[in-house]
Amino acid sequence: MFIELLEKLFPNLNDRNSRQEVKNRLQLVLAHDRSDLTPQMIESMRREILEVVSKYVDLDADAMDFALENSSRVTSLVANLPIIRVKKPEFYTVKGEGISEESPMDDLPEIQIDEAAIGDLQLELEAVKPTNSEVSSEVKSETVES
Amino acid sequence: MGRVIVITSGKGGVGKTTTTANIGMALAQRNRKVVVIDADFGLRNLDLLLGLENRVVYTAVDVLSGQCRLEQALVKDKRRGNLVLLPAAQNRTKDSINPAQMRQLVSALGKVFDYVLIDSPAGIEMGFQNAIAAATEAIVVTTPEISAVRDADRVIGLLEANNIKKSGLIINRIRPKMVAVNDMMSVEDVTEILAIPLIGVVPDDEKVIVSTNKGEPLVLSGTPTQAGSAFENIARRIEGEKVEFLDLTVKDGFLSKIKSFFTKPV
Ligand SMILES: Nc1ncnc2c1ncn2[C@@H]1O[C@H](COP(=O)(O)OP(=O)(O)O)[C@@H](O)[C@H]1O
Ligand SMILES: [Mg+2]
Repeated sequence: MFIELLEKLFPNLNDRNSRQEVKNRLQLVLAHDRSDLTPQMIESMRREILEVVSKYVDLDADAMDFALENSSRVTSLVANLPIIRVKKPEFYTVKGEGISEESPMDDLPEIQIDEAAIGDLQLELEAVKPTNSEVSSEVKSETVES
Repeated sequence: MGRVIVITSGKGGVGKTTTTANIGMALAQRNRKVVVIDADFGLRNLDLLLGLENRVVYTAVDVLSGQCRLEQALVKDKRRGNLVLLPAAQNRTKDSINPAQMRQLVSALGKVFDYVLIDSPAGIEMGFQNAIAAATEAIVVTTPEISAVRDADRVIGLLEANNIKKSGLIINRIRPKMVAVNDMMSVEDVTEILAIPLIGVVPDDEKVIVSTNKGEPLVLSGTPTQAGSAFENIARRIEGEKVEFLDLTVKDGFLSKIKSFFTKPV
């Protein structure tokens, strides 16, 4: 509380640190100045890189960071793309690329199971999935349209 | 051939002309033959800072147009005869001279003088192109402010692109008290960002204005000043001496002492 009081009395004592702020702003603007990349080029680079990466992993769109950085007169492109999950290889066997966000469960291929072979668990399974009579363990490679 | 050094910055008003006048005079005090060229055509100032404005008869443009010979245009300093000024034309624009003509002038002067210092105008257009055309070295002047540093960075890129390999950085108008409370970038901050060798740090000093008023570079004043010593040190570094940088850090003030007392881990 002493500190808080002091900082109220002397706002400059509190490092609201305009020095650090100006350094950060400078570094950002210089990275752009030095690179000679137009904002349009950076944006299409960002889009295309995301497209490629998204084929393999789901990204956290809100936490993504894509920026030019600079040190010792060398500019680097630094992308921080937090991965939510890796897309399972099976995904690629599913026909039709788009999985709708609203009801992803409906889009998954139907899995058949041999009820008789399991026996005891029959009751529980019945509650989940009253299936048709045909017995098959084959995974259908089709996406059900919702 | 003498050394040809352009003093440049990108942004105006950061201290190029002040630096040229003081370093020129400091080198002259070390008995070097020095010519300072005002390349700010249309906005000449260097004559004023050296107190030579009343003695300007001809300018660089008159030399190029054959109105006079080069020696006639050179204004000798009244205090130090080994310092001379080649004035810029005041009634012309920056287009009244081109890079090839600048090289012509400098190659003649370089035969006689140990140092040819070229005071560049602000900007990166024609006037800047002229100023750097004949130079083999550069001194980049900046203040610790975001816009000046950004412009300095641009200029450093252009110097590199124009094959000026040797550049030194001067950070002018530093205010140690502001740095101490984190309200101004420090020398280290700016040097790290611009990434060229530092050859001088000049504090913000009211005496600079007084010296401008008198037309008498600070390095001439009998009483030592912080900014004056800083310029003298820069001249020595240009000559290859190793000189410590002035200690401009503010010793811990009362307030920061109180603060560090309370923030100390118990
Ligand atoms: N270290 C300093 N301390 C205080 N004032 C300064 C300092 N350096 C330059 N100035 C002032 O800043 C103004 C611009 O300086 P000048 O040398 O003409 O800059 P430039 O040639 O880059 O336009 C002048 O009024 C000058 O007196
Ligand atoms: Mg000037």
